[in-house]
Amino acid sequence: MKLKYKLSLIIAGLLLFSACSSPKKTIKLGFVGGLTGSGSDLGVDGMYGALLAVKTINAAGGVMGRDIELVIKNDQSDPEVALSVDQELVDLGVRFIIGHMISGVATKTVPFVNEHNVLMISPTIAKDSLSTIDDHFIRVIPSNVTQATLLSETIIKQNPGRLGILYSNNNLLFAETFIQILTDNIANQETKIGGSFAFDVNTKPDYKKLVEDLKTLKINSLLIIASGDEVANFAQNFALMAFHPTVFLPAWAMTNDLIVKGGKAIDGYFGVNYTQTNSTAPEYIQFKTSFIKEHGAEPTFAAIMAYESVMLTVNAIISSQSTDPMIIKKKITENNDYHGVFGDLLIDRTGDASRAIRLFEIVDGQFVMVKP
Amino acid sequence: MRIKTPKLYETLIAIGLISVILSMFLAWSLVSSQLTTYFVEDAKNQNIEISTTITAYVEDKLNEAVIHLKLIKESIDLTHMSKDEINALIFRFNQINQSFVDIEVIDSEGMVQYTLPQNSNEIGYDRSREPFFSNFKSDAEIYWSSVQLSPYTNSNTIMIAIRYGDGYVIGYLDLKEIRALSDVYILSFGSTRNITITDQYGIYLVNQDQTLIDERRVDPHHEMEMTILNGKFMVIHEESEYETSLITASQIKSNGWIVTISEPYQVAIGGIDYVLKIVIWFAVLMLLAYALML
Repeated sequence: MKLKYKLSLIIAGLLLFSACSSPKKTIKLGFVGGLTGSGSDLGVDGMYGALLAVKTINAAGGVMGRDIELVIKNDQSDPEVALSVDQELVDLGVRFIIGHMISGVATKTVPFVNEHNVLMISPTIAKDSLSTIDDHFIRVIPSNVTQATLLSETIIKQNPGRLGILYSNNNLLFAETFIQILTDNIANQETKIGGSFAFDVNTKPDYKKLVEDLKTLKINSLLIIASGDEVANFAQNFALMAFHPTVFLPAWAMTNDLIVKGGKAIDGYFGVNYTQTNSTAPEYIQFKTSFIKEHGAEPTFAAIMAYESVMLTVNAIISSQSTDPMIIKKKITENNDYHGVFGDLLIDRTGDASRAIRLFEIVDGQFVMVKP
Repeated sequence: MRIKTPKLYETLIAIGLISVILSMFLAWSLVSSQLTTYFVEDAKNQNIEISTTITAYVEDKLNEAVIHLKLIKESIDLTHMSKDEINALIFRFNQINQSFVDIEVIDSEGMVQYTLPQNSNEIGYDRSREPFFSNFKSDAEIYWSSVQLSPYTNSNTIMIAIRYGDGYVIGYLDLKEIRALSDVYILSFGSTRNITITDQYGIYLVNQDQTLIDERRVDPHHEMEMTILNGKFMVIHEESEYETSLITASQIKSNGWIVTISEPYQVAIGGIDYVLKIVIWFAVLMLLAYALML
């Protein structure tokens, strides 16, 4: 009796203490992308997509009775900064990272997550050399081989003559695969590569000299491997100098920024993409409506894929009732039944994504799908 | 098993302790609730006053920027001025008020016709697919963009557009200028309160933490702030930061931006909560001590 009396008093005291201090725990997801500087629209759009997903999940009651908390970090699209912010996330107890957003940072960050038992789910890293490796890296965008192959087929089919390649040097790993595949695919074709030009995103290009060089090399078509706003600037300057090449673009450039900042100068450009911004699929309409309400702009492919990355991760947490990164990885790669904004998203056993890719032409400021 | 009857002194200690603890809690609950209400009400009134003052001040300053664009619009005489004269006039105006990183005059087709000399490469750029061109409401006088990267400086800017005949005069307002507008208030009140300005979608324009602005972050309280506009007031508990705050919000009418004052509850009510914790600890310790004495 005396023991019971003592215990009840001790428990009462501890309850009183815990009532004063215990907070509700959240499940932390990290989001990392380049949020400042040129080309940061990709990271910022991804952040807004991830935020919308978290808001939707929490509004529906969260996961296992807990809210999702998105811990956001800026990797400045720099591999060293990327590594240090990943370490900060690990120190905060984060075990799932949605990001990073460009292939250029993957060389440092993928080995880091492998070593620290963290699962990285990237919306937009498409670097091919990360394919078919069973590690802690999962992506919802297919390898850039898919994009480069479709673009090179399109170029061969259109036979535009002499092709120039303009590429941004802050995402060299992504560009290299494109250039290699394109070079291999058109080796015995009529179209020839007339020259390659790298540019620094932090330095304004000398557009006049560039156009003169392109004209001297008799280049009449261009593959531009850059972000949407960078391509828009090239397009505006090409139009001013009455230089009208046939232009081909990767999915990276196919953003709302390209349309808004490119004006009529980008009409007639071709590009590949995994998303259809004029889709009438109910899932997409619902997502698009929510996104416009939250952020006042159309969602870009980066926003869509970041949204899907969060949803994919959370679905796996719910169905496995676990927050162990390796259990979640297994769930995603072995029992994946996730239905994305544009239909089924298939992730294979090594974490690589398969989804439909399409060719678009920009007509009157709209991405119009080109029939195969 | 034989039940031991408590000794008289144990019973007296127990009754004494319980009486003391109960009276402490009773007295505290009566006094603390009144004290808390008083402090919260006082903080509320002060914060509402600060937020409405900042709102009016920023609105005035933004109006100055708009007036500046209107003066440019009225000073341009297309029939009697050459292209160089118009560009030079825009340059002179920009020297007087350097809030804008660029000013452009756009024709009815959406093409840049005139701009600052340092950005003359952009003359001929096509702005016809910018939202101000397609979304400008017929009855609206001014278009305010959301936060966007400047095509000139890569810094965050707001675009302001006003009509000019069939075209537009547009200015790219550097966010640093907006921060400068409210610096005086941040310096005065920022040590105890967080002063924030966001655009209509909750993207930070002003905050003590500059990285939130640079990274175009969204204020996590935006939705809640929208519900407490017009001088209303709310107490929220931030579970992730274990902090309760008093929030006041008001809106800049011309463009829908929101000015928010957030003050930690602990700061607002002074030391009341600290004393309460000591009282609770004291009570817990007395209970534990008594349990061990038995």
